[in-house]
Amino acid sequence: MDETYMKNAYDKIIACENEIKKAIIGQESLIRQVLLSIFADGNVLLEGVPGLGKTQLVKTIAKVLSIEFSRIQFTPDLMPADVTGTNLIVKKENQNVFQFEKGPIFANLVLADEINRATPKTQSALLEAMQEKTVTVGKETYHLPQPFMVLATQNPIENEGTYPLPEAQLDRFLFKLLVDFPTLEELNQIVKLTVSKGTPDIKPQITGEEIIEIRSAIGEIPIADSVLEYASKIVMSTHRESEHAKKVTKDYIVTGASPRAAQAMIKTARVRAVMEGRFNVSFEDIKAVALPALRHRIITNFEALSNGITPDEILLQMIEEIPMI
Amino acid sequence: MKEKQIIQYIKKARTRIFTHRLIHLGAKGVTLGALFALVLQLVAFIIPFYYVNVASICSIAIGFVAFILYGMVTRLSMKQAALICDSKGLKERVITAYENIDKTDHISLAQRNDALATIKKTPLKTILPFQVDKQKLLFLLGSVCLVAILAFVPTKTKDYAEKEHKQKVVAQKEIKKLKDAKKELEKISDKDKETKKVLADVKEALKETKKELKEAKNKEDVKKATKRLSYKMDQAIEKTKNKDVAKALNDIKNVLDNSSSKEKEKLIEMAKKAEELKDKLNNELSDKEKKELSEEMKDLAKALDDEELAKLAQQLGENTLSQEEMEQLQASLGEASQQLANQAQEAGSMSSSSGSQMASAEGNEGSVGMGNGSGQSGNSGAQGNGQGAGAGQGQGQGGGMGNNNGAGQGGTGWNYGSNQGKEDDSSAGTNGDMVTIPNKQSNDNLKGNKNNTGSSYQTQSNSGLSWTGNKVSFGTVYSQYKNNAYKKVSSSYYPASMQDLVKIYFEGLNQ
Repeated sequence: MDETYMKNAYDKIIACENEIKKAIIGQESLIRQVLLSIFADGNVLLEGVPGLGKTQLVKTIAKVLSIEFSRIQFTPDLMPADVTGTNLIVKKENQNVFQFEKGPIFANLVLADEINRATPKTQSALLEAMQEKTVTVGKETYHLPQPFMVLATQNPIENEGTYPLPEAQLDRFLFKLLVDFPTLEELNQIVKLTVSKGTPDIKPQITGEEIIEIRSAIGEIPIADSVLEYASKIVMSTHRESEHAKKVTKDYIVTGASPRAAQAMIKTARVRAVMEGRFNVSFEDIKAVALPALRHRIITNFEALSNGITPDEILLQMIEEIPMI
Repeated sequence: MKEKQIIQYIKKARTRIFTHRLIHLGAKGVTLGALFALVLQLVAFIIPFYYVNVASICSIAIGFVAFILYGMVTRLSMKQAALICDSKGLKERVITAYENIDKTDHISLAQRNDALATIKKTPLKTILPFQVDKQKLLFLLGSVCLVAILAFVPTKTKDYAEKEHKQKVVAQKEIKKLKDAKKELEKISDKDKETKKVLADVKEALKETKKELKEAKNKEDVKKATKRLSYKMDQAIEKTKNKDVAKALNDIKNVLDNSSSKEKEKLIEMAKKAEELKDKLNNELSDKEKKELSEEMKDLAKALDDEELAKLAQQLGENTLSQEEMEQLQASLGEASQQLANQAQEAGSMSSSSGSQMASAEGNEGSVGMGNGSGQSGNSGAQGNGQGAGAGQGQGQGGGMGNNNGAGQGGTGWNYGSNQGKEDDSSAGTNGDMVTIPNKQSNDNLKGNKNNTGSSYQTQSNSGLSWTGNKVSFGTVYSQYKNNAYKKVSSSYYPASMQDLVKIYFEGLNQ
């Protein structure tokens, strides 16, 4: 994996990004962050009101990456077996035997649509798959196909009949991305694109194998000690009992981010560096990925809630106070 | 090769940052020092502080040095320098390349190449320019200039501080001599009971004088203290029967009095120089002479008490005088020599009261302080003020009280003689107290108690101020003084009551 290979990897990632942009109008930052997560081997939680193109985005990504895609619509009556699969009794050579029937999770890219509508039991069925890339049914453990990633969506405004994701599951998501409402210009383009007869022709830009190779190459991108320390400092600053804790942390954060947050930041920062045409991680990369990597990993207190202070506001203020040098 | 280039780049950056930082820190140090100096200067307007200028300079220098030292101690490491370069838009390429300088894998090599390419595009001059913060620079210059201006602003407090300092210096010198004297006293061996008592008295006197000197507020206090000591020493010498001890005490006394004679000699010398300078001013001066004149005038300025005269002399020393000012100086030099003569005579009077030569005379007291000077009229019609500083002769006559007639002759020396006399009265045998007639106005320590011993002695100094001059009668001097005083009184604004006072004073003198 020399310089030329890295440049090719860069070209491919950028090609994927540009192809996705054909079908998704606006949301450039969102597209970039989803790609960061995919090439960093992570799962993404997309949060936004209905109709902003979350599902469309995931579908487009699946096309561009030319990988196996499956969609699970989470509902309150969805059972874990509906996600992971189940053992069925089948007749085989005049004998009744159990045979595992794979669920929709056995795909490269799984869209867990409206994940917060399912019960915690069903939500938990995804835990092992997201972290270990395996599924255990009965005594058997099945490996999920590679690459594997879960892109889940949730609606922040409809709280009735929903089950907020437990912290343990939230931590499994590399990024939590907020899908913003498009601007007027973007909306105009979206309307033009969707109401016309012709839909954009999305072509696959990369294969699953190539994704795995690029992930491996990106993992070798060097990172300076000071940059690594900066990422760690950010995570430490989210803990109110830490010596690095800032005032805003002590005021509003109850529980800080886990070490997975630091890992997530480093992994995604590496991808961002490659996407920026560099072979090293910068402070800027860390700052860029800090918010999506941390916002779902901290728990704010009632004071923050009552004052309407979002985790993003807390994190932004906190990051500004952490010196880079 | 590429590794070396990266390291070289970081080294250059570090040197550049270091230099830049030193300049900034130095400027910051000077600014803070100047601010502190400014505070000192302002304080010196209210509280007398003689060393304010020295302290101001020191504070600026200390500020500068301290900050420079801090800058040198906290010199950046290579990593820090690399990080600073990266913060200027290199996006951590340099630090990453530096940290992975030994790695040879493909990604590290690619990263190094990328870093090198970026470095070549961004020279250090562009990312680390030597910038001068104009506001800070102006603030620095402003504060330093303000300090300099304030340092040269004359104020009464500063004058007072200077006088106080001079006083302290004199007092310290005297105290040092006292300490030496005490040491000498310790050396005296072979002490009998009487000698021990005398020595104890002398020690006590030294102690008292030391205390007085420490508390002295002006020259007069110092003079008084030394005079009293001198008198006590004389008494001690007289009391002691041991010749060796008397000799030792006399030696100590000579040492204690030595400075006044030195001071006197110096003043005589200065007065002579003033006269010579005045002569020179009448003639054309060569460059060499001008240079000499310049130096001499600077010395003169230091020695003069009169501020305006000193300032004038100082200006001449710096060759900045105009023709008009030259004429003014010429006239003033006469006054200078007069003033110096006065000072010398004053010193002479001190010396005379504690002179080493002692002679006794029946029913007669007196001291001779001699001051004599010659005056020359100025060139360009300027009034020559050179009156002869006359020989001061004090004569006292025994008869119940110490009498001091300051029969001044030829000028200002007439009442500087101090007297040490013992009244001669054979009917009783008690010793008389010291009678001193200090300078013109003060007679607060006049202690002429009547005694019955009937003996008196006179002291005479041979080292008084005595350079050649004309002997002038009292009447001539009196009339000159009176006329000058009347003229000044009538030409300037004085309250009528004060004018009368002057007239009454001179009329009283003539009676």
